[in-house]
Amino acid sequence: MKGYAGKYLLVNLTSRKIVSKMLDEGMAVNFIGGYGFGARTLYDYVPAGVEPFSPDNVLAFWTGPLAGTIAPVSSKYAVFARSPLTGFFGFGISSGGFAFELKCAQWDGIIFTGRSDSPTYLFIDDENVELRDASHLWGRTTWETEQMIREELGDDTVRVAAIGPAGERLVRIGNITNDRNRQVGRTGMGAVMGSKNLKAVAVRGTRDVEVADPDGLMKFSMELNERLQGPKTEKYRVYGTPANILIHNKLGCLPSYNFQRGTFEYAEEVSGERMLKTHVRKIIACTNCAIACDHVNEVREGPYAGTVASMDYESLNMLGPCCGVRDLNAITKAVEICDTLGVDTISAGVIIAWAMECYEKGILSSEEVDGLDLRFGNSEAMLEALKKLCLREGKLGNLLAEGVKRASEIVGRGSEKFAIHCKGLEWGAYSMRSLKTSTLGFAVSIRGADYLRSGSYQVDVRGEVDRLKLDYSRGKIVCDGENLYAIIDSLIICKFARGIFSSVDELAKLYTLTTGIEMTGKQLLLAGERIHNLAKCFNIRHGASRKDDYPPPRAFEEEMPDDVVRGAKITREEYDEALNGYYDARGWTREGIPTAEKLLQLGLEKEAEEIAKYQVSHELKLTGAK
Amino acid sequence: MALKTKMTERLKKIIVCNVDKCNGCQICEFVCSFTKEKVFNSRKSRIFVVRIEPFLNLALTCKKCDDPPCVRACPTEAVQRLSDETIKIDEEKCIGCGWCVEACEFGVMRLNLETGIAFVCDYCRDIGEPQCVKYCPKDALRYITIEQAARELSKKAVKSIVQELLSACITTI
Amino acid sequence: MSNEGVEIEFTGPFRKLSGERKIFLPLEHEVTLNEFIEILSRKFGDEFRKRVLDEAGKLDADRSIIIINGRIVDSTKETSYVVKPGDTVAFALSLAGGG
Repeated sequence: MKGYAGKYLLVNLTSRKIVSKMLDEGMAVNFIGGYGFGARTLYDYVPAGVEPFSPDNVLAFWTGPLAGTIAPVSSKYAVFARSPLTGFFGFGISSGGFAFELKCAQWDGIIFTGRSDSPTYLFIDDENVELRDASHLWGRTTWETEQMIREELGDDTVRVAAIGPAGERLVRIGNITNDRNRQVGRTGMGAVMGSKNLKAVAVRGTRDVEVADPDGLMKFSMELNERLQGPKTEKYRVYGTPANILIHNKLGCLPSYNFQRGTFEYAEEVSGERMLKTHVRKIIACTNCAIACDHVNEVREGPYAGTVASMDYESLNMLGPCCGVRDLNAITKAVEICDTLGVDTISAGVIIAWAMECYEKGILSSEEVDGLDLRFGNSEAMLEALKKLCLREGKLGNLLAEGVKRASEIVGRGSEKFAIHCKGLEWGAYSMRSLKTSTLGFAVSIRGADYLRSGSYQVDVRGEVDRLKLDYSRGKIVCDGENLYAIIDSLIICKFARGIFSSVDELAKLYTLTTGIEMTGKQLLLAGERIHNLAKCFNIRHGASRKDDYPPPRAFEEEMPDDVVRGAKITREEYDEALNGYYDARGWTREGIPTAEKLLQLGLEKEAEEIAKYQVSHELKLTGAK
Repeated sequence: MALKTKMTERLKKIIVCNVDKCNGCQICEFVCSFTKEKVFNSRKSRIFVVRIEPFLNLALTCKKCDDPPCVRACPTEAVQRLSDETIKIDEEKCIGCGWCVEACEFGVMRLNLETGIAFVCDYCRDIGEPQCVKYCPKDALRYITIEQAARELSKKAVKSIVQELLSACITTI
Repeated sequence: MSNEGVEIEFTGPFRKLSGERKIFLPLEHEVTLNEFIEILSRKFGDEFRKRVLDEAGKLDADRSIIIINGRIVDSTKETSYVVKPGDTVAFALSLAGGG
């Protein structure tokens, strides 16, 4: 079994005991890596009743079999825990050079349990692993922490994944940063890390990464690298994802003013085209990536001159148009604040946009927002609110740090209706009412409102379906997308490369060349389905059911005001039909619970037994309700 | 003799990295360790990507110095300069003292972390073409003469000066 | 002279190719989408054609998308589209997720 390191670390932060565990081949074949290993870990380690910030929650770092090899866009790792934002399956994927380094140190992953009684960080130096004091790092930004650890260890090639002050203060959207600009962004993994008093993980790996067929892998990888210079990745290479701004605006699906609208009158000012001319200073790559998409912005004038931050579409739209902000300098500053203090830019933008709407509607008083003039478009107020959120400062900071779901429940007064989230995770930069397949995909996602679990927006924006309608058949589209993305996230490769593979068989080929384990595209997709079902079982155990798979009320109750999609909204009937279509395609009950039959078919025996209990309790509840 | 040296210098081909194009992807390191050692391990690469946050990325390898400091520093004559100006390490003679590493101005001479023996870029002498150059996805790496590199730099400088002048004119108008 | 025609918006690489953000193209009668692309390719050169069509001359959703009056052209049904005077058409790089 090549490709894999074949072993992982089990670190008990309470007892400070560190154990090396073997990775068994059955786990490798059935769950591939990354997302699959994370699903296995969460299911096996986190029983019902374990609170996200309890020492009993786990925090697992996993790479995939391809990390550390020449396989393109493969230097990726994922972090898993029960999410403090959703209470469900939490995870995020990051790239940079961290995964590659961890594999060179010959570890597939790290599982943290317990809680350290004082700030600590883990240093992995090949087979030498130790927990070190992090008291002097506590309170430092992610960038400072990376720098200080490298200086302390006297090696600037050490890779560091760290949390910022936000994670330390249990801000629920706290994230993890490595290699300065790369984040495990979503579902609050940084907050879980903070709850464990774990400031950082530092790695130095100097060993060879062995693969089954080095010549074959080399040849195929170089062929793929060539394809990565073609038209299918041009958008990432040249314009970066901010190219979406003008197109989404044209289509009326650019969320602005907290998703009240689908167009932004100042779109041109925040467009990728404009940004490239006025802000992008350098485009950099993650380790082993032939695309290079990371557009690093530099603010050249005005009050934020000198600010440097990496900009993508989601960050740009959520902290820009979604907050009514049109100043690229301020948006770049906002991303810098998020990255250094350590929060997810998407969630942060949606939370502040919600607060702005509350303020404009008189739901939040001036006193409740610490005296800020929190109107849409006020970029200074946006930045102030953001800092408060990251540091839990003042009334406003403490409120916003809870995430939009909890914040709106605390405030009440009708503000829940425009808290744009699903399962507690804030929605990304795809309008709900004018991209309806996308919306179904977001809402059924195991992670909460999430564009990265199925890529279901793709059929909408390619015009392959009528994006303003939903029907039963969309369920299958989302389901297939999820199974494929589960594979991509388990191998783990970058989704930006997905277009260059002619079929899933090519992904299987990469897997076999690397590991030596025979695999077909069909088998891979089956593994994808298995992984997704396992993750779903985790959610079921923690109380998920059909009710959690709906978009927020704004999607159903308000019509789009923008000319190009005027009047668009989702009807309950069409949504229910599409959701039924999804559950049917999955082979789950219409309550959204995997059937024993489906789980057994996927080889998930013990899960089938456990989930059957929830099946019964749901039926009882339903009968009781009648 | 003097004339001959000059001719050689003029025709000397080295690996040049374009700092505008290099984005720090390290693919050259992977390709190199695979080519030279049949493994994937950037620490066995003969080319090194230096990243200085937040903007600077540059891959660096042997510059084929004239009268190479690494050769001069070696106490056992293990570091030798061949007629094609590449450096060869006689692994039998190398005692792993690291003086060549200290002597190299560019830090591209290294000791193998497992064996302690010195290693350095040999421009893929046996293949005839540096593989890092061949597979650099952005064509940031090129195998060209110093003359050629200089000419291109001049051109670039003139271009940017003219552009600045032009835009200055336009602004004044 | 007729003032009938089509408003065309360019984003991304199409801006560079055409040198414009927006143009007004006189058009007196309805044409098929393929004819329309041909007109623009003659105007802006072969590069324009290569941006929109694949080697076989078919629309390629991986390269770019075309939006006619706010509706995205389904590249698999390209022959069914027409462009007529009064329409607005936009050319853009195909969409992609961010982050």
